[in-house]
Amino acid sequence: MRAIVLAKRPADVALVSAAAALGETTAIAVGSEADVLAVLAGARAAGATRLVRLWDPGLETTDYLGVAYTLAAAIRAIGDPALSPTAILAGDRGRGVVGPAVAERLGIPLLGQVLSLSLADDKLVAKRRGRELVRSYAAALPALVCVVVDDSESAPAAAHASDAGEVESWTLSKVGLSAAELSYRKHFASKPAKGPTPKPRRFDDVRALATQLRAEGLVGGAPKPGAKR
Amino acid sequence: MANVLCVVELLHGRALPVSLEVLGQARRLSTELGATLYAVVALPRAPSWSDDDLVATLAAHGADKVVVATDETFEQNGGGEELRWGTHGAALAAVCDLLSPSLLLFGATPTAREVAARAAARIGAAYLHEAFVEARDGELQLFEGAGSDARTLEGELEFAVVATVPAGRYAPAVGDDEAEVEVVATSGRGADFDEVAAEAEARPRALVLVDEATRGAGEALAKALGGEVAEGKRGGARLVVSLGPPCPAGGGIERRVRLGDGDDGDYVVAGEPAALAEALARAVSAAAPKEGK
Repeated sequence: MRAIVLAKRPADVALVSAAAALGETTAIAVGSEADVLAVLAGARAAGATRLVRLWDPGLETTDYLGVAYTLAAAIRAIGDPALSPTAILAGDRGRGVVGPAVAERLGIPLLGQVLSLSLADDKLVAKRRGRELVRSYAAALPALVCVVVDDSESAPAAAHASDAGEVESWTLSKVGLSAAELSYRKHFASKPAKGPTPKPRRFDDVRALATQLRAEGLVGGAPKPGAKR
Repeated sequence: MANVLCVVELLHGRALPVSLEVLGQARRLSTELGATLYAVVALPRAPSWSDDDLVATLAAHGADKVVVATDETFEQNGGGEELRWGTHGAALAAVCDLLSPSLLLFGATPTAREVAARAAARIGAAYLHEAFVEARDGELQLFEGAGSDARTLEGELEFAVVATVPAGRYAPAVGDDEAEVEVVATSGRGADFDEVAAEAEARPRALVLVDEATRGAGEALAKALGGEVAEGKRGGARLVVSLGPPCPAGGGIERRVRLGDGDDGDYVVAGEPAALAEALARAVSAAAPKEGK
């Protein structure tokens, strides 16, 4: 079994540690040397045995799907997941869109909101945070899991870029893509703009608030199926 | 713009409030832009005539049409209420193939994250997380982020957009209209994760953040909520209620409530924090026995 971690931020060393416990781990990061070399150094320290940095000017203007196409192509270039049992780990944070898009591109099972991972009977077992329970799921590999990462908590000490060791630098052509193939996605990318300011919802009294929280399943016993409001 | 789709999440057979809020905003957009608004809900089987409360609710909250995506396998997956790509992806893909949405909206819930994101990738859409979805002068205006940190999709959108919208951002629509019902039957899951076990959450159900002045009232509220009291900024629960300290964000918190003065919650009730906490504890405790009847 092998694992591939889609690393993006320093906190993703937690993903690498989880992956290294499953099998031989490769970390892939998309970005310039200045942006991701320290992340890859952290991945090395956390147990990754192979590091790939993927960058091309064509990626500067693309959107999440262009990045996902590129990562999926890189994963195939490392070794077709359909031919070799592979667990792919991405961080579930912020927009959380690239991991699911890579799973779609590769056509493999996906599970998000994952808290922990293990292997049992050659299957990947993932604990997922549900609404009220933590549920365990098992899948044959290949599969992609989006693991909950909190960037604000227990941020690891920043690794020095010079500690990364050997890092393979790949471009789009290395993974069989061209900037022209991704260029149409620039129209789908959002641009900076001044937007609205979010305002909290104000409740007139706590009873209305309690009713809202109950309907959301956040307090009290939830209503039974078919119960009238 | 042709079709706007809102994916409705259920909790014990009823639409989540955030789903109705998103549906309400989608109603306003669809009216302004001349689009048809579909509420999409996943059920193990089509609703019967005696079982159409959900359809009536979605119609009253703005849907022109209600699409019921049925799959018998939802029965083994909590009735299909908790969204997951492995269980819901095929049904949602079938609905998207049928209706080619210009705008596909989800409530920004933890369980919708993977589904919204993968649906966007599947249809090749632009994706906006925790978005503002608005219309001005007959044009759609979509933002991700807020204020000077926001981003937008520029120009006439000639492609589909998938967006999640957080709870509390928009008000539900209210009406007494009826909606057509369309059933899209799907079956047969591909390779997927299978549920093998379930266990209780280790983290507290709620966290009440207090200071010296509100500790007593906070402890009573925490007891009513089945949670814990903490001083200062701390996450680690689905629900965080602050009686004084700043409301934290991230860390798996689904809803932040501010009792008292301040704007740093998703929900706010103005007033004296300790008195509000005592009243909320009473409201929560008073409602609990009725639900068991």
